[in-house]
Amino acid sequence: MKHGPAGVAAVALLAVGCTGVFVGPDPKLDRLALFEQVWTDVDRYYSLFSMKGVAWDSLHDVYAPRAAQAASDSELGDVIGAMLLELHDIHVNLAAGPQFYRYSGYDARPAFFDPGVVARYVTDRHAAPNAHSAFGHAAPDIGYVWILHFEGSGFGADIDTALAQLADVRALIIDVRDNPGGQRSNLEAVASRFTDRGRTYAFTRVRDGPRHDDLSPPEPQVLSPDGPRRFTGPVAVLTNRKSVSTAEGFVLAMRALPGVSIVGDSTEGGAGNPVTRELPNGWAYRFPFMTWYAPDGTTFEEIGLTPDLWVRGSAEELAAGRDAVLDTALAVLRRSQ
Amino acid sequence: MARSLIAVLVGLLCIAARAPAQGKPSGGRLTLAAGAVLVAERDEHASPLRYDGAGPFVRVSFETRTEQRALVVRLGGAIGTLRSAMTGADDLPRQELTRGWIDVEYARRIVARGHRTRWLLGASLAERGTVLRHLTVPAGANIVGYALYSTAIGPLVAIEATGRRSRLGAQLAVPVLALIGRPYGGLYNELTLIPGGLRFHLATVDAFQAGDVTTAYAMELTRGAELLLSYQLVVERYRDDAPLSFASQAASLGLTIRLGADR
Repeated sequence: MKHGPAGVAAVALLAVGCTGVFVGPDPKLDRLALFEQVWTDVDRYYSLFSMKGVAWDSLHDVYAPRAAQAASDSELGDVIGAMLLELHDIHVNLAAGPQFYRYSGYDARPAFFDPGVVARYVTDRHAAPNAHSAFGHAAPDIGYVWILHFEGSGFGADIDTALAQLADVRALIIDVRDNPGGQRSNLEAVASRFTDRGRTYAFTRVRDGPRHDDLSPPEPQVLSPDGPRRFTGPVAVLTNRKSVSTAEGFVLAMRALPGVSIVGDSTEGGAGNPVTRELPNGWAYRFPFMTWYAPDGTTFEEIGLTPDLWVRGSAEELAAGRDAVLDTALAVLRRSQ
Repeated sequence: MARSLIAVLVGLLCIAARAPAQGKPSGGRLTLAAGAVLVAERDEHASPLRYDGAGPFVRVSFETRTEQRALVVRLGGAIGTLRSAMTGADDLPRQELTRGWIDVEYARRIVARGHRTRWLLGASLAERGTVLRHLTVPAGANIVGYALYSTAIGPLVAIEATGRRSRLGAQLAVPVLALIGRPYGGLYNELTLIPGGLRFHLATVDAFQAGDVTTAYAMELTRGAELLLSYQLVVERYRDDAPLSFASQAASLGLTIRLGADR
Protein backbone atom coordinates (compact mmCIF):
# COMPACT_ATOMS: atom_id res chain seq x y z
CA MET A 1 0.00 0.00 0.00
CA LYS A 2 3.04 2.22 0.44
CA HIS A 3 3.21 2.41 -3.33
CA GLY A 4 -0.43 3.46 -3.77
CA PRO A 5 0.25 7.03 -4.93
CA ALA A 6 2.93 5.74 -7.29
CA GLY A 7 0.43 3.27 -8.69
CA VAL A 8 -2.15 5.95 -9.38
CA ALA A 9 0.53 8.16 -10.94
CA ALA A 10 1.83 5.27 -13.04
CA VAL A 11 -1.62 4.58 -14.48
CA ALA A 12 -2.02 8.27 -15.26
CA LEU A 13 1.39 8.47 -16.93
CA LEU A 14 0.74 5.37 -18.97
CA ALA A 15 -2.49 6.87 -20.21
CA VAL A 16 -1.10 10.31 -21.07
CA GLY A 17 -1.66 10.89 -24.73
CA CYS A 18 -4.31 8.24 -25.06
CA THR A 19 -7.08 10.83 -25.31
CA GLY A 20 -5.63 11.95 -28.62
CA VAL A 21 -5.13 8.35 -29.70
CA PHE A 22 -8.76 7.53 -28.95
CA VAL A 23 -10.07 10.50 -30.91
CA GLY A 24 -7.56 9.97 -33.68
CA PRO A 25 -5.61 12.39 -35.86
CA ASP A 26 -7.15 14.89 -38.25
CA PRO A 27 -8.27 13.17 -41.43
CA LYS A 28 -5.96 13.47 -44.42
CA LEU A 29 -8.41 14.11 -47.20
CA ASP A 30 -7.60 14.09 -50.87
CA ARG A 31 -9.14 16.71 -53.11
CA LEU A 32 -12.25 14.73 -53.93
CA ALA A 33 -12.80 13.95 -50.25
CA LEU A 34 -12.51 17.66 -49.40
CA PHE A 35 -15.11 18.38 -52.05
CA GLU A 36 -17.38 15.67 -50.63
CA GLN A 37 -17.00 17.11 -47.13
CA VAL A 38 -18.28 20.50 -48.30
CA TRP A 39 -21.05 19.08 -50.49
CA THR A 40 -22.27 16.77 -47.69
CA ASP A 41 -22.12 19.48 -45.07
CA VAL A 42 -24.23 21.86 -47.15
CA ASP A 43 -26.56 19.00 -48.07
CA ARG A 44 -27.14 18.23 -44.38
CA TYR A 45 -27.37 21.65 -42.84
CA TYR A 46 -28.15 24.39 -45.41
CA SER A 47 -31.50 25.95 -44.50
CA LEU A 48 -32.57 27.65 -47.75
CA PHE A 49 -32.83 24.80 -50.24
CA SER A 50 -36.62 25.01 -50.35
CA MET A 51 -36.37 28.68 -51.38
CA LYS A 52 -33.53 28.32 -53.82
CA GLY A 53 -34.90 25.59 -56.01
CA VAL A 54 -31.39 24.28 -56.56
CA ALA A 55 -30.94 20.63 -57.55
CA TRP A 56 -28.09 20.01 -55.13
CA ASP A 57 -27.70 16.34 -56.10
CA SER A 58 -27.31 17.34 -59.72
CA LEU A 59 -24.68 19.89 -58.79
CA HIS A 60 -22.76 17.06 -57.15
CA ASP A 61 -22.85 15.16 -60.42
CA VAL A 62 -21.57 18.21 -62.26
CA TYR A 63 -18.82 19.31 -59.89
CA ALA A 64 -17.53 16.07 -58.30
CA PRO A 65 -15.78 14.91 -61.49
CA ARG A 66 -14.16 18.34 -61.79
CA ALA A 67 -12.98 18.11 -58.18
CA ALA A 68 -11.53 14.67 -58.86
CA GLN A 69 -9.61 16.09 -61.81
CA ALA A 70 -8.36 19.21 -60.00
CA ALA A 71 -4.60 19.32 -60.44
CA SER A 72 -3.95 21.78 -57.63
CA ASP A 73 -5.54 23.17 -54.49
CA SER A 74 -6.20 26.34 -56.42
CA GLU A 75 -8.21 24.43 -59.01
CA LEU A 76 -10.10 22.61 -56.27
CA GLY A 77 -10.97 25.99 -54.71
CA ASP A 78 -12.32 27.10 -58.09
CA VAL A 79 -14.52 23.99 -58.30
CA ILE A 80 -15.92 24.16 -54.75
CA GLY A 81 -16.30 27.93 -54.98
CA ALA A 82 -18.22 27.64 -58.25
CA MET A 83 -20.53 25.00 -56.76
CA LEU A 84 -21.28 27.11 -53.70
CA LEU A 85 -21.95 30.18 -55.81
CA GLU A 86 -24.73 28.27 -57.58
CA LEU A 87 -26.77 28.85 -54.41
CA HIS A 88 -26.92 32.60 -55.17
CA ASP A 89 -26.65 33.28 -51.47
CA ILE A 90 -24.69 36.20 -50.08
CA HIS A 91 -24.12 34.26 -46.85
CA VAL A 92 -22.31 31.44 -48.65
CA ASN A 93 -18.57 31.76 -49.19
CA LEU A 94 -15.33 29.83 -49.25
CA ALA A 95 -11.93 30.96 -47.98
CA ALA A 96 -9.50 28.67 -49.77
CA GLY A 97 -6.10 29.92 -48.70
CA PRO A 98 -5.50 33.18 -50.55
CA GLN A 99 -8.60 32.67 -52.70
CA PHE A 100 -12.00 33.89 -51.55
CA TYR A 101 -15.23 32.98 -53.25
CA ARG A 102 -18.51 34.76 -52.57
CA TYR A 103 -21.67 35.39 -54.53
CA SER A 104 -21.38 38.78 -56.15
CA GLY A 105 -24.57 38.73 -58.19
CA TYR A 106 -26.02 41.65 -56.24
CA ASP A 107 -22.92 43.81 -56.25
CA ALA A 108 -24.04 45.74 -59.32
CA ARG A 109 -27.34 46.77 -57.75
CA PRO A 110 -27.51 50.54 -57.42
CA ALA A 111 -27.04 51.83 -53.88
CA PHE A 112 -26.61 55.57 -53.92
CA PHE A 113 -25.14 56.46 -50.59
CA ASP A 114 -22.25 58.78 -49.83
CA PRO A 115 -21.37 59.59 -46.21
CA GLY A 116 -19.62 62.70 -47.51
CA VAL A 117 -22.92 64.02 -48.83
CA VAL A 118 -24.67 63.14 -45.56
CA ALA A 119 -22.01 65.20 -43.77
CA ARG A 120 -23.39 68.28 -45.56
CA TYR A 121 -26.71 67.68 -43.78
CA VAL A 122 -25.26 66.56 -40.45
CA THR A 123 -22.57 69.10 -39.68
CA ASP A 124 -22.14 68.16 -36.02
CA ARG A 125 -21.52 64.45 -36.52
CA HIS A 126 -19.75 62.63 -33.66
CA ALA A 127 -18.55 59.06 -33.43
CA ALA A 128 -20.23 57.01 -30.70
CA PRO A 129 -17.90 55.62 -27.97
CA ASN A 130 -17.44 52.21 -29.59
CA ALA A 131 -17.28 53.69 -33.10
CA HIS A 132 -20.00 51.41 -34.46
CA SER A 133 -22.14 54.44 -35.18
CA ALA A 134 -22.04 58.22 -35.53
CA PHE A 135 -24.69 60.76 -34.67
CA GLY A 136 -25.62 64.42 -34.99
CA HIS A 137 -28.42 66.71 -36.11
CA ALA A 138 -29.92 66.53 -39.60
CA ALA A 139 -32.12 69.48 -38.63
CA PRO A 140 -32.44 71.44 -35.37
CA ASP A 141 -35.23 69.13 -34.18
CA ILE A 142 -34.30 65.96 -36.08
CA GLY A 143 -31.47 63.71 -34.98
CA TYR A 144 -29.42 61.46 -37.22
CA VAL A 145 -27.75 58.14 -36.25
CA TRP A 146 -25.64 56.30 -38.79
CA ILE A 147 -25.06 52.64 -37.89
CA LEU A 148 -22.08 51.45 -39.94
CA HIS A 149 -22.45 47.73 -39.14
CA PHE A 150 -23.66 45.35 -36.43
CA GLU A 151 -20.31 43.62 -35.71
CA GLY A 152 -18.68 43.65 -32.29
CA SER A 153 -19.99 44.76 -28.94
CA GLY A 154 -21.11 47.91 -27.19
CA PHE A 155 -24.08 48.76 -29.41
CA GLY A 156 -26.33 49.40 -26.44
CA ALA A 157 -23.85 51.89 -24.99
CA ASP A 158 -23.45 53.58 -28.38
CA ILE A 159 -27.17 54.12 -28.94
CA ASP A 160 -27.64 55.24 -25.33
CA THR A 161 -24.92 57.86 -25.84
CA ALA A 162 -26.49 59.01 -29.09
CA LEU A 163 -29.96 59.29 -27.54
CA ALA A 164 -28.58 61.18 -24.56
CA GLN A 165 -26.71 63.63 -26.80
CA LEU A 166 -29.77 64.04 -29.02
CA ALA A 167 -32.18 64.64 -26.13
CA ASP A 168 -33.28 67.90 -27.80
CA VAL A 169 -34.74 66.29 -30.94
CA ARG A 170 -38.35 65.27 -31.46
CA ALA A 171 -37.68 62.95 -34.42
CA LEU A 172 -34.87 60.66 -35.44
CA ILE A 173 -33.32 59.26 -38.61
CA ILE A 174 -31.46 55.95 -38.34
CA ASP A 175 -29.34 55.23 -41.38
CA VAL A 176 -28.47 51.60 -42.16
CA ARG A 177 -27.60 52.12 -45.81
CA ASP A 178 -24.54 50.11 -46.89
CA ASN A 179 -24.74 48.31 -43.52
CA PRO A 180 -23.28 44.79 -44.06
CA GLY A 181 -24.80 43.28 -40.90
CA GLY A 182 -23.27 41.46 -37.94
CA GLN A 183 -24.76 39.82 -34.89
CA ARG A 184 -28.44 39.59 -34.04
CA SER A 185 -27.88 40.63 -30.42
CA ASN A 186 -26.59 43.98 -31.69
CA LEU A 187 -29.64 44.79 -33.78
CA GLU A 188 -31.79 44.04 -30.75
CA ALA A 189 -29.55 46.16 -28.51
CA VAL A 190 -30.28 49.17 -30.73
CA ALA A 191 -33.94 48.52 -31.54
CA SER A 192 -34.75 47.77 -27.88
CA ARG A 193 -34.37 51.50 -27.13
CA PHE A 194 -37.40 52.25 -29.33
CA THR A 195 -40.00 49.77 -28.11
CA ASP A 196 -42.33 50.12 -25.16
CA ARG A 197 -43.14 46.42 -24.82
CA GLY A 198 -42.20 43.02 -26.15
CA ARG A 199 -43.02 42.70 -29.85
CA THR A 200 -42.52 39.80 -32.25
CA TYR A 201 -40.62 41.20 -35.20
CA ALA A 202 -39.57 38.07 -37.13
CA PHE A 203 -39.50 34.30 -37.15
CA THR A 204 -36.56 31.98 -37.62
CA ARG A 205 -36.43 28.39 -38.77
CA VAL A 206 -33.44 26.07 -38.43
CA ARG A 207 -32.50 23.16 -40.63
CA ASP A 208 -33.30 20.24 -38.36
CA GLY A 209 -33.22 17.08 -40.40
CA PRO A 210 -31.60 15.34 -43.35
CA ARG A 211 -34.27 16.28 -45.90
CA HIS A 212 -33.83 19.65 -47.56
CA ASP A 213 -37.23 20.82 -46.31
CA ASP A 214 -36.68 19.66 -42.73
CA LEU A 215 -37.02 22.95 -40.90
CA SER A 216 -37.90 23.62 -37.28
CA PRO A 217 -41.26 25.24 -36.49
CA PRO A 218 -41.17 29.05 -36.75
CA GLU A 219 -39.54 30.52 -33.66
CA PRO A 220 -40.72 34.04 -32.83
CA GLN A 221 -38.00 36.66 -32.40
CA VAL A 222 -39.14 39.10 -29.77
CA LEU A 223 -37.85 42.61 -29.27
CA SER A 224 -38.01 43.72 -25.62
CA PRO A 225 -37.46 47.18 -24.12
CA ASP A 226 -33.99 47.84 -22.75
CA GLY A 227 -31.67 50.68 -21.83
CA PRO A 228 -31.94 53.75 -19.61
CA ARG A 229 -33.64 55.91 -22.24
CA ARG A 230 -36.35 55.13 -24.74
CA PHE A 231 -37.04 57.24 -27.81
CA THR A 232 -40.77 57.55 -28.47
CA GLY A 233 -40.85 60.16 -31.23
CA PRO A 234 -41.21 59.49 -34.96
CA VAL A 235 -38.37 57.58 -36.59
CA ALA A 236 -37.30 57.09 -40.19
CA VAL A 237 -34.99 54.17 -41.01
CA LEU A 238 -32.99 54.65 -44.22
CA THR A 239 -32.23 51.59 -46.35
CA ASN A 240 -30.68 50.73 -49.69
CA ARG A 241 -29.74 47.68 -51.72
CA LYS A 242 -26.64 47.19 -49.58
CA SER A 243 -28.50 47.02 -46.26
CA VAL A 244 -28.10 43.33 -45.69
CA SER A 245 -28.33 40.44 -43.24
CA THR A 246 -28.52 41.72 -39.65
CA ALA A 247 -29.27 45.19 -41.03
CA GLU A 248 -32.38 43.61 -42.54
CA GLY A 249 -33.18 42.09 -39.16
CA PHE A 250 -32.92 45.60 -37.76
CA VAL A 251 -35.35 46.85 -40.39
CA LEU A 252 -37.76 44.05 -39.45
CA ALA A 253 -37.46 45.01 -35.78
CA MET A 254 -37.98 48.71 -36.39
CA ARG A 255 -40.88 48.31 -38.75
CA ALA A 256 -42.71 46.31 -36.08
CA LEU A 257 -42.84 49.52 -34.03
CA PRO A 258 -45.44 52.28 -34.31
CA GLY A 259 -44.25 55.63 -35.63
CA VAL A 260 -41.40 54.14 -37.69
CA SER A 261 -41.15 54.66 -41.46
CA ILE A 262 -38.73 52.75 -43.68
CA VAL A 263 -37.43 55.09 -46.37
CA GLY A 264 -35.13 54.30 -49.27
CA ASP A 265 -34.63 51.36 -51.59
CA SER A 266 -35.37 47.69 -50.90
CA THR A 267 -32.78 45.93 -48.81
CA GLU A 268 -30.39 43.38 -50.34
CA GLY A 269 -32.16 40.14 -49.43
CA GLY A 270 -29.91 38.00 -47.26
CA ALA A 271 -32.22 36.06 -44.94
CA GLY A 272 -29.77 33.40 -43.79
CA ASN A 273 -27.92 33.11 -40.53
CA PRO A 274 -24.57 31.54 -41.39
CA VAL A 275 -22.29 29.14 -39.61
CA THR A 276 -18.59 28.80 -40.41
CA ARG A 277 -17.16 25.34 -41.04
CA GLU A 278 -13.59 24.11 -41.30
CA LEU A 279 -11.76 21.71 -43.56
CA PRO A 280 -8.74 19.65 -42.52
CA ASN A 281 -6.56 21.48 -45.06
CA GLY A 282 -7.12 24.81 -43.30
CA TRP A 283 -9.88 26.16 -45.56
CA ALA A 284 -13.10 27.54 -44.15
CA TYR A 285 -16.54 27.98 -45.66
CA ARG A 286 -19.79 29.48 -44.54
CA PHE A 287 -23.46 28.88 -45.22
CA PRO A 288 -26.78 29.51 -43.46
CA PHE A 289 -28.23 26.89 -41.15
CA MET A 290 -31.02 29.23 -40.01
CA THR A 291 -33.36 31.44 -42.02
CA TRP A 292 -35.18 34.61 -41.03
CA TYR A 293 -38.76 35.29 -42.06
CA ALA A 294 -40.92 38.39 -41.86
CA PRO A 295 -43.70 38.28 -39.23
CA ASP A 296 -46.23 37.27 -41.91
CA GLY A 297 -44.09 34.23 -42.72
CA THR A 298 -42.79 35.51 -46.04
CA THR A 299 -39.19 35.35 -47.04
CA PHE A 300 -36.99 38.20 -48.22
CA GLU A 301 -34.08 36.08 -49.44
CA GLU A 302 -32.82 37.46 -52.78
CA ILE A 303 -35.75 39.92 -52.77
CA GLY A 304 -35.10 42.29 -49.91
CA LEU A 305 -37.50 44.14 -47.62
CA THR A 306 -39.67 46.72 -49.31
CA PRO A 307 -39.60 50.20 -47.74
CA ASP A 308 -42.69 52.21 -46.82
CA LEU A 309 -41.46 55.00 -49.07
CA TRP A 310 -39.41 53.90 -52.04
CA VAL A 311 -36.61 56.30 -52.96
CA ARG A 312 -33.49 55.18 -54.77
CA GLY A 313 -31.63 58.41 -55.43
CA SER A 314 -29.14 58.76 -58.22
CA ALA A 315 -25.48 59.35 -58.91
CA GLU A 316 -26.34 62.76 -60.36
CA GLU A 317 -28.10 63.86 -57.18
CA LEU A 318 -25.18 62.71 -55.05
CA ALA A 319 -22.76 64.54 -57.35
CA ALA A 320 -24.86 67.65 -56.79
CA GLY A 321 -24.58 67.17 -53.03
CA ARG A 322 -28.14 65.98 -52.56
CA ASP A 323 -29.21 62.80 -50.78
CA ALA A 324 -32.71 62.03 -52.07
CA VAL A 325 -33.36 59.36 -49.43
CA LEU A 326 -32.37 61.67 -46.60
CA ASP A 327 -34.40 64.52 -48.12
CA THR A 328 -37.47 62.29 -48.23
CA ALA A 329 -36.98 61.15 -44.63
CA LEU A 330 -36.66 64.76 -43.47
CA ALA A 331 -39.86 65.66 -45.31
CA VAL A 332 -41.70 62.71 -43.76
CA LEU A 333 -40.54 63.57 -40.25
CA ARG A 334 -41.38 67.26 -40.65
CA ARG A 335 -44.90 66.29 -41.69
CA SER A 336 -45.18 64.07 -38.63
CA GLN A 337 -45.34 67.03 -36.22
CA MET B 1 -30.61 -5.75 -28.93
CA ALA B 2 -31.53 -3.22 -26.25
CA ARG B 3 -33.65 -5.81 -24.43
CA SER B 4 -30.85 -8.37 -24.38
CA LEU B 5 -28.44 -5.81 -22.99
CA ILE B 6 -30.88 -4.87 -20.27
CA ALA B 7 -31.22 -8.58 -19.46
CA VAL B 8 -27.43 -8.92 -19.20
CA LEU B 9 -27.29 -5.92 -16.93
CA VAL B 10 -30.03 -7.17 -14.66
CA GLY B 11 -28.23 -10.51 -14.51
CA LEU B 12 -25.00 -8.87 -13.41
CA LEU B 13 -26.83 -6.97 -10.72
CA CYS B 14 -28.41 -10.21 -9.50
CA ILE B 15 -25.01 -11.91 -9.29
CA ALA B 16 -23.74 -8.96 -7.30
CA ALA B 17 -26.77 -9.09 -5.03
CA ARG B 18 -26.16 -12.78 -4.24
CA ALA B 19 -23.01 -11.91 -2.33
CA PRO B 20 -23.39 -12.00 1.46
CA ALA B 21 -25.23 -8.89 2.49
CA GLN B 22 -24.13 -8.58 6.06
CA GLY B 23 -21.56 -5.95 6.86
CA LYS B 24 -20.77 -3.39 9.45
CA PRO B 25 -23.13 -0.44 9.31
CA SER B 26 -21.43 2.52 7.80
CA GLY B 27 -21.79 6.25 7.76
CA GLY B 28 -20.71 8.16 4.72
CA ARG B 29 -17.73 9.90 3.25
CA LEU B 30 -17.98 13.28 1.64
CA THR B 31 -15.18 14.24 -0.70
CA LEU B 32 -14.39 17.55 -2.32
CA ALA B 33 -11.81 17.21 -5.06
CA ALA B 34 -10.29 19.54 -7.62
CA GLY B 35 -7.82 19.00 -10.39
CA ALA B 36 -7.03 19.32 -14.04
CA VAL B 37 -8.59 17.59 -17.00
CA LEU B 38 -7.06 16.92 -20.42
CA VAL B 39 -9.61 16.66 -23.22
CA ALA B 40 -9.55 15.62 -26.85
CA GLU B 41 -12.69 15.60 -28.93
CA ARG B 42 -14.05 15.64 -32.44
CA ASP B 43 -17.68 16.59 -32.93
CA GLU B 44 -18.31 16.44 -36.65
CA HIS B 45 -21.38 18.62 -36.28
CA ALA B 46 -18.89 21.35 -35.45
CA SER B 47 -15.75 20.41 -37.33
CA PRO B 48 -13.90 17.46 -38.86
CA LEU B 49 -10.84 18.52 -36.85
CA ARG B 50 -9.70 17.19 -33.52
CA TYR B 51 -9.71 19.72 -30.70
CA ASP B 52 -7.44 19.27 -27.68
CA GLY B 53 -7.08 21.24 -24.51
CA ALA B 54 -7.15 21.33 -20.76
CA GLY B 55 -8.97 22.97 -17.93
CA PRO B 56 -9.88 22.76 -14.28
CA PHE B 57 -12.58 20.64 -12.76
CA VAL B 58 -14.21 20.16 -9.39
CA ARG B 59 -16.02 17.15 -8.03
CA VAL B 60 -18.12 16.47 -4.97
CA SER B 61 -18.81 12.91 -4.04
CA PHE B 62 -20.63 11.04 -1.34
CA GLU B 63 -20.01 7.38 -0.67
CA THR B 64 -21.11 4.83 1.83
CA ARG B 65 -19.25 1.54 2.21
CA THR B 66 -19.49 -1.63 4.20
CA GLU B 67 -17.40 -4.76 3.87
CA GLN B 68 -19.99 -6.03 1.43
CA ARG B 69 -21.07 -3.10 -0.67
CA ALA B 70 -20.29 0.39 -1.87
CA LEU B 71 -22.56 3.16 -3.05
CA VAL B 72 -21.02 6.25 -4.60
CA VAL B 73 -22.63 9.42 -5.96
CA ARG B 74 -20.45 11.97 -7.72
CA LEU B 75 -21.22 15.39 -9.14
CA GLY B 76 -18.62 17.18 -11.19
CA GLY B 77 -18.06 19.97 -13.62
CA ALA B 78 -15.22 21.00 -15.89
CA ILE B 79 -14.42 23.84 -18.22
CA GLY B 80 -11.64 24.09 -20.75
CA THR B 81 -10.41 25.69 -23.93
CA LEU B 82 -9.72 23.39 -26.85
CA ARG B 83 -7.71 24.15 -29.96
CA SER B 84 -7.15 22.44 -33.29
CA ALA B 85 -4.30 22.25 -35.76
CA MET B 86 -6.02 25.13 -37.58
CA THR B 87 -6.01 27.48 -34.58
CA GLY B 88 -4.02 30.57 -35.45
CA ALA B 89 -2.30 33.41 -33.68
CA ASP B 90 -5.69 35.04 -33.08
CA ASP B 91 -6.64 31.92 -31.09
CA LEU B 92 -9.35 31.05 -33.63
CA PRO B 93 -10.92 28.69 -34.27
CA ARG B 94 -11.25 27.29 -30.78
CA GLN B 95 -13.82 25.58 -28.63
CA GLU B 96 -14.85 26.42 -25.12
CA LEU B 97 -15.86 23.27 -23.29
CA THR B 98 -18.37 23.02 -20.48
CA ARG B 99 -19.03 19.56 -19.10
CA GLY B 100 -21.02 18.36 -16.17
CA TRP B 101 -21.71 14.91 -14.82
CA ILE B 102 -23.50 12.91 -12.20
CA ASP B 103 -22.37 9.34 -11.56
CA VAL B 104 -24.21 6.88 -9.35
CA GLU B 105 -22.43 3.57 -8.71
CA TYR B 106 -23.51 0.62 -6.68
CA ALA B 107 -21.37 -2.49 -6.26
CA ARG B 108 -21.28 -5.54 -4.01
CA ARG B 109 -18.39 -7.74 -3.01
CA ILE B 110 -18.07 -10.87 -5.10
CA VAL B 111 -14.59 -12.10 -4.15
CA ALA B 112 -12.43 -11.36 -1.15
CA ARG B 113 -8.78 -12.39 -0.84
CA GLY B 114 -7.94 -12.33 2.80
CA HIS B 115 -9.38 -9.37 4.55
CA ARG B 116 -7.40 -6.74 2.66
CA THR B 117 -8.41 -7.11 -0.97
CA ARG B 118 -11.85 -7.45 -2.45
CA TRP B 119 -13.48 -7.49 -5.86
CA LEU B 120 -16.81 -5.79 -6.39
CA LEU B 121 -19.35 -6.05 -9.16
CA GLY B 122 -22.24 -3.72 -9.74
CA ALA B 123 -23.72 -1.14 -12.00
CA SER B 124 -23.00 2.41 -12.93
CA LEU B 125 -25.41 5.11 -13.99
CA ALA B 126 -23.60 8.03 -15.58
CA GLU B 127 -25.34 11.21 -16.65
CA ARG B 128 -23.11 13.53 -18.64
CA GLY B 129 -23.62 16.70 -20.58
CA THR B 130 -21.05 18.38 -22.83
CA VAL B 131 -21.44 21.71 -24.58
CA LEU B 132 -18.82 22.97 -27.02
CA ARG B 133 -18.97 26.65 -27.87
CA HIS B 134 -17.32 26.77 -31.28
CA LEU B 135 -15.69 30.08 -32.12
CA THR B 136 -14.67 30.41 -35.72
CA VAL B 137 -12.86 32.71 -38.08
CA PRO B 138 -13.68 35.52 -38.62
CA ALA B 139 -13.93 36.72 -35.05
CA GLY B 140 -17.47 37.82 -34.33
CA ALA B 141 -18.99 35.36 -36.76
CA ASN B 142 -22.03 33.53 -35.51
CA ILE B 143 -21.08 31.40 -32.54
CA VAL B 144 -22.79 28.05 -32.34
CA GLY B 145 -22.80 25.73 -29.35
CA TYR B 146 -22.80 21.98 -30.00
CA ALA B 147 -23.85 19.44 -27.42
CA LEU B 148 -24.07 15.83 -26.40
CA TYR B 149 -26.09 14.59 -23.44
CA SER B 150 -26.02 11.00 -22.26
CA THR B 151 -27.43 8.98 -19.42
CA ALA B 152 -25.72 5.61 -19.64
CA ILE B 153 -26.03 2.46 -17.60
CA GLY B 154 -23.76 -0.53 -17.53
CA PRO B 155 -21.76 -2.97 -15.43
CA LEU B 156 -19.03 -1.91 -13.09
CA VAL B 157 -16.14 -3.97 -11.77
CA ALA B 158 -13.83 -2.73 -9.06
CA ILE B 159 -10.95 -3.91 -6.92
CA GLU B 160 -9.99 -2.42 -3.60
CA ALA B 161 -7.02 -3.07 -1.37
CA THR B 162 -7.11 -1.76 2.17
CA GLY B 163 -4.08 -1.04 4.29
CA ARG B 164 -3.82 0.07 7.89
CA ARG B 165 -4.20 3.75 7.08
CA SER B 166 -4.80 3.76 3.35
CA ARG B 167 -6.92 2.35 0.56
CA LEU B 168 -6.10 1.75 -3.10
CA GLY B 169 -8.83 1.12 -5.65
CA ALA B 170 -9.42 0.81 -9.34
CA GLN B 171 -12.60 0.36 -11.29
CA LEU B 172 -13.92 0.00 -14.80
CA ALA B 173 -17.42 0.93 -15.92
CA VAL B 174 -18.67 0.18 -19.42
CA PRO B 175 -22.11 1.46 -20.40
CA VAL B 176 -24.25 -0.86 -22.48
CA LEU B 177 -27.36 1.23 -22.88
CA ALA B 178 -27.68 5.00 -23.08
CA LEU B 179 -30.25 7.70 -23.49
CA ILE B 180 -28.62 10.12 -25.90
CA GLY B 181 -29.58 13.71 -26.53
CA ARG B 182 -27.96 15.52 -29.42
CA PRO B 183 -29.27 18.41 -31.50
CA TYR B 184 -29.37 17.88 -35.25
CA GLY B 185 -27.00 20.79 -35.73
CA GLY B 186 -26.21 23.13 -32.89
CA LEU B 187 -27.76 23.63 -29.48
CA TYR B 188 -27.62 27.40 -29.48
CA ASN B 189 -26.67 30.28 -31.69
CA GLU B 190 -25.31 33.41 -30.03
CA LEU B 191 -26.59 32.09 -26.70
CA THR B 192 -30.15 31.74 -28.04
CA LEU B 193 -31.40 28.17 -27.92
CA ILE B 194 -32.04 26.67 -31.32
CA PRO B 195 -35.48 25.03 -31.46
CA GLY B 196 -35.55 21.28 -31.73
CA GLY B 197 -33.61 20.64 -28.57
CA LEU B 198 -31.63 17.54 -27.76
CA ARG B 199 -33.75 14.91 -29.60
CA PHE B 200 -33.49 12.07 -27.13
CA HIS B 201 -33.27 8.46 -28.20
CA LEU B 202 -31.95 5.17 -26.85
CA ALA B 203 -28.60 3.91 -28.04
CA THR B 204 -26.94 0.56 -27.48
CA VAL B 205 -23.23 -0.18 -27.77
CA ASP B 206 -23.62 -0.27 -31.54
CA ALA B 207 -24.09 3.51 -31.50
CA PHE B 208 -22.65 4.65 -28.19
CA GLN B 209 -19.43 3.22 -26.90
CA ALA B 210 -17.95 4.47 -23.68
CA GLY B 211 -15.69 3.50 -20.85
CA ASP B 212 -14.62 4.93 -17.55
CA VAL B 213 -11.44 3.82 -15.75
CA THR B 214 -10.73 5.26 -12.33
CA THR B 215 -7.92 4.66 -9.89
CA ALA B 216 -7.82 6.24 -6.48
CA TYR B 217 -5.59 6.23 -3.45
CA ALA B 218 -6.93 7.38 -0.10
CA MET B 219 -4.62 8.06 2.83
CA GLU B 220 -5.90 8.67 6.33
CA LEU B 221 -4.88 12.04 7.68
CA THR B 222 -6.81 11.93 10.91
CA ARG B 223 -9.49 9.65 12.22
CA GLY B 224 -12.13 11.72 10.43
CA ALA B 225 -10.33 12.85 7.29
CA GLU B 226 -8.55 11.35 4.27
CA LEU B 227 -6.47 12.73 1.46
CA LEU B 228 -7.65 11.37 -1.88
CA LEU B 229 -5.52 11.16 -5.01
CA SER B 230 -7.40 10.01 -8.09
CA TYR B 231 -7.11 9.61 -11.81
CA GLN B 232 -9.96 9.06 -14.24
CA LEU B 233 -10.00 8.24 -17.94
CA VAL B 234 -13.30 8.64 -19.77
CA VAL B 235 -13.87 7.81 -23.42
CA GLU B 236 -17.07 8.20 -25.41
CA ARG B 237 -17.85 7.60 -29.04
CA TYR B 238 -21.22 8.25 -30.62
CA ARG B 239 -21.71 6.88 -34.09
CA ASP B 240 -23.99 9.02 -36.21
CA ASP B 241 -23.98 10.63 -39.65
CA ALA B 242 -21.78 13.21 -37.95
CA PRO B 243 -19.88 11.14 -35.34
CA LEU B 244 -18.58 12.43 -32.04
CA SER B 245 -15.54 11.18 -30.13
CA PHE B 246 -14.55 12.42 -26.72
CA ALA B 247 -11.78 11.44 -24.33
CA SER B 248 -10.69 13.00 -21.08
CA GLN B 249 -8.13 12.34 -18.40
CA ALA B 250 -8.60 13.95 -15.03
CA ALA B 251 -6.18 13.99 -12.12
CA SER B 252 -7.33 15.35 -8.83
CA LEU B 253 -6.53 15.85 -5.21
CA GLY B 254 -9.34 15.77 -2.71
CA LEU B 255 -10.20 15.87 0.94
CA THR B 256 -12.57 13.27 2.35
CA ILE B 257 -14.52 13.83 5.52
CA ARG B 258 -15.87 10.77 7.26
CA LEU B 259 -19.41 11.15 8.49
CA GLY B 260 -21.42 9.28 11.10
CA ALA B 261 -20.52 5.67 11.87
CA ASP B 262 -17.71 5.72 9.34
CA ARG B 263 -15.62 7.91 11.63
